[in-house]
This record gives sequence, C-alpha cells and structure tokens, in this order.
Amino acid sequence: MHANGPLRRVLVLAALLVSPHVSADPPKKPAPPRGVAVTVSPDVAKKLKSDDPAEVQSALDEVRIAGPAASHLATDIAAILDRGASRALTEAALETLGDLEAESAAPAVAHYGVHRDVKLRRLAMQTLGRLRGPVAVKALRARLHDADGMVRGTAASALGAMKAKEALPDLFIAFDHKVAEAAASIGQLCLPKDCDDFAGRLGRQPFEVMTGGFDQILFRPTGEVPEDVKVKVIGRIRELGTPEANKFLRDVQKRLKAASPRLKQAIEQAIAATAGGAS
Amino acid sequence: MKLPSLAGLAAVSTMVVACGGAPLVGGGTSPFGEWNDDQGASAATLWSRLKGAPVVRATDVAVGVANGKLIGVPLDGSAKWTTSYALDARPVLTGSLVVATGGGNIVAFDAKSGQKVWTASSPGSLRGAGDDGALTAVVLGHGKGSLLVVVSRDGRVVSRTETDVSLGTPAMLSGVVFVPWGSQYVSAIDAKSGSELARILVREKTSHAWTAGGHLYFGEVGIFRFDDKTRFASQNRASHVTVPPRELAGSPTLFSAPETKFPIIAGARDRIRLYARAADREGALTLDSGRYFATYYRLVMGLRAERGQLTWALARPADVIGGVAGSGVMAVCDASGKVAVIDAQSGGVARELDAGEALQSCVVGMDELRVPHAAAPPLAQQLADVLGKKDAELATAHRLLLRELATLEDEVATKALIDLVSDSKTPVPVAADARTSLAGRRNGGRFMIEALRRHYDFLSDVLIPPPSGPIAQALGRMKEPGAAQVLVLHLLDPATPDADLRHIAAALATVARPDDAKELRQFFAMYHGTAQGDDQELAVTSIAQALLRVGGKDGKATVDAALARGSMAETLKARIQSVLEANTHPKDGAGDASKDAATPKPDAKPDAKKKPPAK
Repeated sequence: MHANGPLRRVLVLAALLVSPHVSADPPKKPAPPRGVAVTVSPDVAKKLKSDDPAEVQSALDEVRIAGPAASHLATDIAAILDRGASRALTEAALETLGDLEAESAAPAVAHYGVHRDVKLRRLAMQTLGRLRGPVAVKALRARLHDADGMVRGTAASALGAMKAKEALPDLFIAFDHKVAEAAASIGQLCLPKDCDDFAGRLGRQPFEVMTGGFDQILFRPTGEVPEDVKVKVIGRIRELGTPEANKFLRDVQKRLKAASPRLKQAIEQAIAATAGGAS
Repeated sequence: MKLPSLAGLAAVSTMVVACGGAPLVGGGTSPFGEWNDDQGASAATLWSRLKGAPVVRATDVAVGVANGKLIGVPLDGSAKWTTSYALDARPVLTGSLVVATGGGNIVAFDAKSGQKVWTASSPGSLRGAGDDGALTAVVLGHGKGSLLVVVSRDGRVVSRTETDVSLGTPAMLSGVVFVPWGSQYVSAIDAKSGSELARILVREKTSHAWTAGGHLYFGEVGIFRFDDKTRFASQNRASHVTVPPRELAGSPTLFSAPETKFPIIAGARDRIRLYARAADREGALTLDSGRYFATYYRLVMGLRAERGQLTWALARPADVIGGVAGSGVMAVCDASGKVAVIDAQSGGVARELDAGEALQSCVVGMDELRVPHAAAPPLAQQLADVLGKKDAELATAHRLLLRELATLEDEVATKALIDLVSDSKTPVPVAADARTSLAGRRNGGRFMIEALRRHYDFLSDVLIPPPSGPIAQALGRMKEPGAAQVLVLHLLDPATPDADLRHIAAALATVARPDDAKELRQFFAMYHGTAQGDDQELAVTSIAQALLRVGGKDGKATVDAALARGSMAETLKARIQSVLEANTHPKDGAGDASKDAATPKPDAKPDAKKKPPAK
C-alpha cells in the first residue's frame, strides 16, 4: 500500500506521537553519557528561574538528559512558559515537559495551544499528547477546531493515543471534516456501535483514510471490540471488492496471528472474494 | 394642403443658409435655417397663442419589446396586451399612442389596447415622436439628416420636412411641433404648413421635447418649461430646473445624446439613467416630490432634488431598462419583464406588474397615475438589503452605497457593514471599504459585540473570523461596556489576523477591566519574547499599556520582569519602555492611558539611544 496524501500525513503524525523526537523539525534531545547514572545538578532549579536565557537553556538541556528522574522540576519549567520566554526557550521548555510527561504542566502547555505561531501550536499539541490528563484532553479537543490542518491532525492523533474516549464525538465530527488523522483515533477509542458507525462511512471517505481506523479496530483485544464487530468490518471491506481492499485484507492476515478461527476464516473469505480485482 | 416636396425643401434650406441672417421665424418660413436671435419675441408670441391650450396626457403604461412583439402592461393593473410588429427601432410612447417604425412604415398603436391606430409610409428609423391628440409628429433618422413627418389620426401625412440637421425628440402642443436641434435651439413648427413659427435659444444642451402634467418641456441636461418666461431663454432666465451634481455610479444622465439611435435592444445607457419629473411650486419650476431617480443596472435610487442626498434604494430582479418619473411616483421596467410602480418619497413598491417574459427594451409612460403611499424600511435597512445582493456588476454602485450607509446614524448600518465584511462573497474592494467604514462607526455596539462572539471554527464551518480589527477600533472609541470581555477572547485566538490583533490590543489598552488582567498577562507572557512582525509587537505594547492600567502591582511587575529578562526584541523593548515612561510621567497628569495626550503611541519608533533597564 502506498502511503500518500492523507494517509502519509496520518503515518507521519502517528510516528510523531509514538516517538516525539521524530518530526519534521525534530526536537534535539541531548544524549545522556553512556553508563552514567543521570542526575541533575543541585542548582538546576535556580537556573531554570534565571533571567539569563543561556542559563535557562543549559538547565533545560540538563533536565532533558535526566528525563523522568527530573520530573520534580516540571513546575519550574512550566513557570518558564507561564512567565514567557524567547521562541527558542519556549520550544525547549515544551519539549522538555513532553519528556518529563508530568501532567501537572498541562495548564501551562495548554496556553501555547493557542499561540499564533503554528509551529509552537503543533509542538504544544505533541507535548499535551504526552502529558495526558483532563486539562490536556480539553485543550486537544479544542484544537480540533483549529485553522491549521497539522494542529488538528496532531490533536486528533493525540486524543486517540491518550484513550480520550470522551473526545469520540468530536473525533467523528473532525473525521467528517476530512481530518484524516481522526480515523485511527476513532479506531482506537470506538465502542462497538461507534466502530460500526465508523465502518458505515466506507464509500463516503477514501479507503486509504478509513484503513487507519480499521487497522486499529481489527487489532484491538476482543474484550474491547467484540469479534462480531470485527467480522462485520471485514464484511464491509469485502463488499468494496477493490484491489486496495484485497491488499489491505492480505496485509491484515499477515499481521493478525492470534485471531480466532472465525475471524481468520472471515478474512480468508474476504480475500478470496476480493481477489478478482487484485493486481 | 400641398406638401413641400423633398427636393423643394432641400432647395429652400440651401437658399436660407445662403441668405444668412434673415429673420425667418414668426412669419412662418422654412425651419432649421440661419437665424438672428429675436430676443424671445417669436417665443412670446407663440406662448400668447398657446397659453391654456390643452396638453395631451400620456397613457400610464409600460411597453416592452420581446422578439418581434410589443407587450403593453398598463400601470393601473388592467390586462396587458400583445401585438406583433417587425420593428427596426425601439418604439416611442407619446400621449395615448405607441409609435413604431419598420418595413418602411410608421405605425401607431393605441397604448391602452395595442390596437393599430394608423400606418403611414415613410423611410427612416424612429428617433422620437410627439402627439397632441389629433396629430402626431415623428422624427426619423434619414441619411445624415432627419425627417419630420406629421401624421393625422387617419394615417394621412399632413406634412413632411427633410433637413440636413439632426433633430431631437419632438413634442406637440395644439398643432405646433416643438423640435430641438443643434443642441441649443427648439424650433416651433406649424404642423400643417411645416413653417417655423418661433425659435427658442437656450444656453444649455437640449435635445428632447416632451409633455407631462399639462405642460410642455424641453431639455437634456436640465428641464425647461414652455411658459411665459421662455422668451428669456437666451438670457438664462427661462423656467428651468435640473438635478444637482453628485457622484453616481456610471455617471447617468436624464437623456441620451441626440445623435444616439434608439436600438431595439436596450444598452448600458438605458440601464444607467436618471429620471425626473418637473413640477410647479408657487410658480417656480422644481422637481416633483422633491426627488429624482437614478438607475444602475438592477439598482434604483431615490435622491433629493436639492442636493442629491440618497433617500432610498432598492434592487430589482433584473437590470432596469426603462422608466419614467410621474407625480409622486415612478415606474421602472426590467429585463425580466417585471414592472414596478414605486413611491417616490419612500422607495416602497406600490405595485408589481409583469410582462410575462424577458424584454429586449422597454418604454414607460405615466402622467395621471396615482398610487397610495407605499411604506419601505428605513434607508439603512434598504441599503443593507441592496448591499446583501452580491453581483460583481454592481460593485461600483455598492462602493458608493456603502459610503452612503457609513454616513447613517442607524445601528442597522453598523450591522450591515459587519455582515458585508463577514461575507466571503463580498467583492474585495467593497469589503475593504466596509472595514474602513466599520472602524469609524460610533453606534451599533451590541451588533459589534454579537459579531465578536463568533470565532473561527473549522468543525462548525465558520471559516471567516469576524472583522475584529475594525470592530475593536470602533468599540475602543465608543468605550462600549462589555467590549473587553469579547475582545480578550479574540486577542488569544490564533485565527485572529495580525492586522486585526493590533487594533484589538489597542482597544483593550482603553477598555480592559481589572477582570481581564489574567488574559492580558497570558497574552503578554506568550508574546513578549515570541512576537513576530510589527503588528504583533504593537499588540504586545498595547497590552503592556493595558496591564499597567488595570493590572495593578502584578501587572506592572509582569511588564518590569519581562523587560529585565533578555528575551525581548530590542524594538519591542524600546516601545514598552516608552509606555512605562509615559505611565510614570503622564504629560497631562491624568495618568489615563485612554487619553490620547497621555498615551504613548505604541507604534512610536524605538529610540536607539535609550538604555535597556538594568538587570
């Protein structure tokens, strides 16, 4: 399957969320020295409060190297955002907070979700996706309405990754407004009825966009998505009868090792039924 | 009566020109020759003779041309009529007749019924006609000159005069044809003999003669009445009225130039016209109802006679291609075949009529029609309605109407401006004008605040943010209560354009309340180190000003701390320092940042010599 158009964007964003250090403009996390237990210097908190940008930057680098071990400094870093800083320090603070995964910093980061600089806004979305918690969810849901497509997409992906089920109605609206990234999130969050609603959009939305959601639905545990729903989804894909559908089903078959005999059979039959159109 | 032959007339005409300077009028001689100004003597004699003569009334009807058909639509609402005729020019309405030409004939139809009244053979294409109830004078374009043909009710040609000059549209009064020519003359011709009884010299371009409301008029730029003062016409003391000069889209005129032929299919000049009806007020000539009217494609506008102020405006379903001004009323006919009778004062449509099909051209006659007053919404609402009709063809007129709207002290005008700016279909130049006008409004605050409650919202398909910049400018000057609450939300909305942001911030410098300090601090924190471009820097400066005004000690501490950190651009730092200084030493001693004298201009150029504050 070729990843182009909306799908490519989905994949890029998914990669960003799985590994926040991979992005179009990747944050440069300082590498920790090998084999050395990483701690922060005693005066790092003082440095974070400094009026000297260079001192603050060096303190942030130190914290990033330390990682979650320095999570007690999240409040001090959030304070940098609260009082405001240069663009470079703002970026560094957002990235560092993402590394610390400290939910307490979410209010400060959420403010930057409405920054006029779209790069800062996107970075804030990525950071919120890692901080989690109700404040982050609220801010991410709000940015589904953003004017920037990347911000909307990042917010949609983050909500799925955070398992923010309360955002499901918003994600459906976003998906219907061609926020392709919402597909995978819906697939991650949907209850059986929602999964069925999503599958019902097949034919109205491009197949390549829908597959992001189908993939999630089919690979979720049966406890979350019952087998009936999965079989129904496969049935809908089978009805398409296109080479793309066949290719997708074959790909799922390869990866779906632990499926029940019923599900495996449904996939096999669907592959056979759609093989006529396969190249 | 023996008719002068064409060849004979040509010879006489040549002779008259060759003689030069001989008095040829008053005694009844060949017309349109050389002439010595008789100082109004012949006009005075003629007036004595015709004073009190009955003037034929025009039938109240619209006559449209549609693919070889004439469709008559009586303005009183009675049944329409249709008749077929192979026209070669647009027909003319005069008195109770519709006069047309085609196939080498002149033909007259009854304007009420469409029945043929007479036919007369004559070459030439129709340029104009006048009727006195018994005789009809018809001017035809013929070669490089003109033919003046007088026809009786039985179709008999009573006289036929050929001339090299270009004759204008004639009118008739009791057997005398009044025909303008040479831009400045009106010759009074005896309809039966063809001899010139009088000549009127006017000092204004004149090409049309007509009757209306019991009087005979002539003119082109303005309107002259034939009366006891006509004898003073050459001294500019005739009874005269004209429309006041004012800017109107397409520069419309009351009449087309005399050289213009009247093609069957209406053109731009028919769509861009002025209409006016003269009326007597205590012996002085004035415009009926104190109004005249302008059309511009679909638009119809009522204007005050004194200075041309717009009093009403409406948009018709299609381009207006014909019309007439009556007494207290006017009527227009549009290309879709719709005819509207409009109250001259209010612009309310008193009667809607329909020819039933699209029209190529249309002529309208009206003399005695009276309609009850028709109410219309206030002018601001009318303009809002007109401006709401998006049509690229109307962009020029819309800009003009927009300027009119901006002058109205009516909240509806404010709302209309907001709607225009917020509508993606509004042509760019109109939207730009509307933004400027909106910024200058001093009323309609509630509409402005209502508009600001809307934000860009991708999922709700609100893809155009409200015009927050101009609204902020207006609200700031109006010091509208409740403005700050909505302005701060746009201040923090990333969809607010930079150009609007600076005005929002400037307004908040004036209208922000202590309750807004939290949002002001958030904005200041987010942007004092990241502001990009002049608009954002100006916004940050204004918000610093607002914080100093309403933020108390915390507000000042926020600004001071930001200056102390090394994260601010030098230009921004200098601007904020200038605000701080002004706040510390207000020039007028009031310390009120809203006062222009005490408020440093946020866009003041930074002083490079100023030292940054000590860290």
